[in-house]
Amino acid sequence: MSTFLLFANMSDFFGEVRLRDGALDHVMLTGLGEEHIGASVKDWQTRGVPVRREIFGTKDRPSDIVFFQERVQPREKTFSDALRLWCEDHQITVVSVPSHAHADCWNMMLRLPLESTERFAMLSVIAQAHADELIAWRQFLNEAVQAVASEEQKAHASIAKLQQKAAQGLAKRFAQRAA
Amino acid sequence: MREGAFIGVTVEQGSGIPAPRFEAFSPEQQVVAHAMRGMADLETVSEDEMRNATTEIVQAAEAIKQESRQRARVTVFERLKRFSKTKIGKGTLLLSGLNVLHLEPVVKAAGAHMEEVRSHREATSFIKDLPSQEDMRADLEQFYGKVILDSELPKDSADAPSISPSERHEKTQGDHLYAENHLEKMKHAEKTSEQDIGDFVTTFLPRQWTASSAIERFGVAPQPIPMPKEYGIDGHAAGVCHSGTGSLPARIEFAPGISVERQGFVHLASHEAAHANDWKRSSDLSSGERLTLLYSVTKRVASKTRMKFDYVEDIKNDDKQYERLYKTTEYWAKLMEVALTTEAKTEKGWETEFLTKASQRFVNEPRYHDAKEDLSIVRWYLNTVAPDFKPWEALPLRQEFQIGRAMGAADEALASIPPGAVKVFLSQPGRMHYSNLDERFVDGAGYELSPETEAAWEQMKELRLQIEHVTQPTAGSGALDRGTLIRSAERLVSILRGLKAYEKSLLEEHIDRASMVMPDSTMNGDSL
Repeated sequence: MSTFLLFANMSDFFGEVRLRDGALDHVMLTGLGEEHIGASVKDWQTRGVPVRREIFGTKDRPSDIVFFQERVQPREKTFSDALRLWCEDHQITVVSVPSHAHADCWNMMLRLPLESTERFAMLSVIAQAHADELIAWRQFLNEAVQAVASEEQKAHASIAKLQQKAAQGLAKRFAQRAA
Repeated sequence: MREGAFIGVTVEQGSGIPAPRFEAFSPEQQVVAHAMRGMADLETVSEDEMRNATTEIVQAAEAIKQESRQRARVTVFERLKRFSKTKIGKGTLLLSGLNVLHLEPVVKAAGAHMEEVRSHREATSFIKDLPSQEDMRADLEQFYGKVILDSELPKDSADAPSISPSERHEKTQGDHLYAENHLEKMKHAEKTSEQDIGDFVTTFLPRQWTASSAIERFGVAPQPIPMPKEYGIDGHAAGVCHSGTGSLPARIEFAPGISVERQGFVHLASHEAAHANDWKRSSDLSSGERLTLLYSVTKRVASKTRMKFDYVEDIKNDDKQYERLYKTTEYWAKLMEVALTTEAKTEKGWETEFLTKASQRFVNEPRYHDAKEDLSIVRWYLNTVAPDFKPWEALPLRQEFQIGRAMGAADEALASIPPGAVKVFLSQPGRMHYSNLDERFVDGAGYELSPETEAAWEQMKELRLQIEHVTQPTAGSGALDRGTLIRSAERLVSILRGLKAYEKSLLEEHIDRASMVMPDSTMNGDSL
């Protein structure tokens, strides 16, 4: 199982495509991805990915180069190559996530409050990291996620406190008015 | 049974203790709904009050969420920075080759980002310390009176009806705000075109301020601008902000003879533009933010530990409520003047310079702590209206513009005076002619430049070369810094003015003599 992450403009995350032995397993798009390539993805699933092919020479004209379009079905093993070509034609960057460990890192990065360009930059580095380096990256990301979660908890507590205080204040104010 | 709906809360009224029925709540609406429980008479709470209450809570909760996100980002970046220094972190970055180029800016941005977070935190805490909008309005009404307050914070300012250009002109005549009376400092300034003024102000003012929707035009007044009677100050003003009503953009005019080279110009333009973007006139502030701004500036003006500006203190009006308003209006403009005219190049430097300048203006002794209150207002305002604007980035832009103008002036001067010319002739009354001593010296036929003028001329040429050298892209480490450069450019312009004045005096003093000694046959070539 491998995963392709699709990005536009080196930052906007469009979604992920999971592949099994090169064939399509499933696709998950973000809102942005749905907006830009949602229709195309539906088309892949029903009719296959359109790819450019070229042949050199035909029977009648041996010196010509002929281009034509071919559809590669999602169940075919060559689907992943076809998808890469399609993305290239549509200026979409594909970052391959080769292992479960890489995917885990990506999932943790999604939970961090990063800008899309920052996330892309970090992913570009992690995608090429070796196994032993990945251990350190995972540890770093795990700690960062925990720290962020702790911040979120604090914020929730502050908001709850604020709401309680505000409710009491309002109740008092309105009650005084009513009296 | 009557049913009244309010922002997602449906309330049944009429019999016994009201039983609120809740539908589709946000947490903030639940708070308001909770407050409504147990109230005997819901008729006493207006929809406006409820809406304001909800808005206040939503804003406060939003501030907490934002602050929390910023804190979380700092945590992530701090850890990333630490990680990038570890053996494996560093190794990964190095091994990733090109990708280092991607990640490194992220790591580097961490430091700058932390500063931003700190500033954001200060801005949000400033808001949290303020009383409720209702209380602020009540305080202001007591301080200024209802008439003034309603005029300063019109409730429907965003919905001003559209009007024709002629009506607009008429309306913008009504409300003038003046800079302090420092016209004297600007005497004999070289004129600057309106285009140049408009271009120059964009180098040091927030773009939201100079947008045509905020300030329609920066111009030069045809006549000297008298100080308004309402201020009780005599003399003429150096600038005026004609402010329209409602959503109309303002018009700023400077006194005749204004020049962007004058040191006071940046102060003056900042001051006037601040008037055009205050609580009453800014189109980028919500009604709550307008109230916050007027309240916080008023609080500073009413405080005993605040900055003192002669101009503000001198304002006198028989109506004390109006006097307070004028003082507050001018204090605001002065405050922004201090904030936008620093020489600092970093955020920390800007903050320090602001606090130093501000605290020096306190009456008895430097009050660093109190000056921080002024800084908080500025920070909050800029964060709200122009979050992308950084006052500490303005200086190089300002200098670049001034260097450009100085070089233009130098080019003009050098083009009109041939290099090496040491003799000045008058070709005919009103026309100058310079000649090279070696090429065309005619004994007794010209007027020799004084040694001082010759020295000034040489210095000017030298400065021009210096400027050319440092503005070359290949300029090495020995190049002058921008501060020295701009001083050189200013010196150049002042010498140029001296030469022009000298040229004029030559014409006046020696016109008769020259026309007598100068035969027409020598008049060819370089006449101006």
